[in-house]
Amino acid sequence: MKSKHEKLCQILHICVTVFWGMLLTGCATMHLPDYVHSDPNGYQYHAFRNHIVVGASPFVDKKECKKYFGTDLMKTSVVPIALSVWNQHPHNSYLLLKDNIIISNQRMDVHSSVKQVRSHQHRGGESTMKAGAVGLLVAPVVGAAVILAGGKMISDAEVIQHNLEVKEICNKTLSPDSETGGFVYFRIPETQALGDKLYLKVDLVDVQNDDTVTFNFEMEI
Amino acid sequence: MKKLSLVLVTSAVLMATGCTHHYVIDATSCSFKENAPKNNISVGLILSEELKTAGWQKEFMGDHFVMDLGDQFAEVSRCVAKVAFASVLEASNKPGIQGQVDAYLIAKVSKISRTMGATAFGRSDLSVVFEWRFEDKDGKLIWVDTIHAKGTSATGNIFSHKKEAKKQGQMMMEDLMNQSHHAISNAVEIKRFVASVK
Repeated sequence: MKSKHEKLCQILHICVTVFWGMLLTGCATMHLPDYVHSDPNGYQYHAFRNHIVVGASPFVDKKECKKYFGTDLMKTSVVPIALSVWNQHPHNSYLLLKDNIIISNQRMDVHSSVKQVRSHQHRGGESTMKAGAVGLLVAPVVGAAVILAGGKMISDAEVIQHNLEVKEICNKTLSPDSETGGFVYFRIPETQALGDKLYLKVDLVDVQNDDTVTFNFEMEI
Repeated sequence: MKKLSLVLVTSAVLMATGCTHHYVIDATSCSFKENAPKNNISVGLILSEELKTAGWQKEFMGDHFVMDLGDQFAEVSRCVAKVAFASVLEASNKPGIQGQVDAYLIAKVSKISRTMGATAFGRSDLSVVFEWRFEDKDGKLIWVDTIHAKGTSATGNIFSHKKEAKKQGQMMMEDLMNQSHHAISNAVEIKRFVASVK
């Protein structure tokens, strides 16, 4: 027969073990590291024009994706593309606007596509979208987790969603010799396979004379 | 038996109806960490209705959590504009002050999000993606920048969640204020524009 004191000690022992067990087995809040955008010249695809360097790297590696986004986004047909822009012009400033970043799985007509594309078009095997439509993509990524949720899963889903938004590229003025970086997200159609082409178009607008500098990338995913 | 039934019915009603929790954030105690000379022009500060009513809310296990942030965003925007420019005229849209200012400073809330920790001790982040646009009096975009401001605290338990949320909200507003001030006062494009107006 155990004494009252022994029983209390046993309960306390169980509580402490469960608490540490929870912490060590992953009940701690998910933490995702920041992605440091480096020199665009080091990106898988890069180009130099009018003193501006733009670099782009599709994030298709599962490990990398899990590390920075907490989930394999490719499973939900979303491709994150790391983008880095460096204005090396000594005097001119350029506007980087999300609406001027377009991703498509079809080759784009450089001169006419911008005004024709809605924020997200998806017909059959064709998909074209503007960066900044992250809301369209995030819901399917985290939706399943929330439906099945327990407290930890809800917390993880929120951290993943928050992280996608925080890492997204944003509207910015690139002053002389300044750089910026962020991710654009693209939902690939079901018919698209790994190894297919993806086309990225980035337009930068000169603040003083409204001239546009266009960068086109043909990427393999 | 009667007491037990009463307790059970009351609990069932409470569980079915849920509660609404209001988090009150106050940005009036926020202060600037940097000093910078004012730009000697008059700007129209555009604070839309959308900004003034912005907030965060969430449904969780029948409870409704609400954080009204619009008034505080407006207050922070006013403080930033008044510190950065010699004269500030506020309006909810551009036509309201057309012809009375040299340029427009437009504040916009793009996104508010909040994470909750897996436990009461877990970290919770409140963040806002806040966009500033500076346009000349003809509406030509001169400068744009996006601020990611953040406040972090513990998620808190049933007794401390409001206090933690308040702390987190104030931290985010202070971060927003200082990052915005830094961005506007260091913008080469705004300085160039001010020089051209003179």
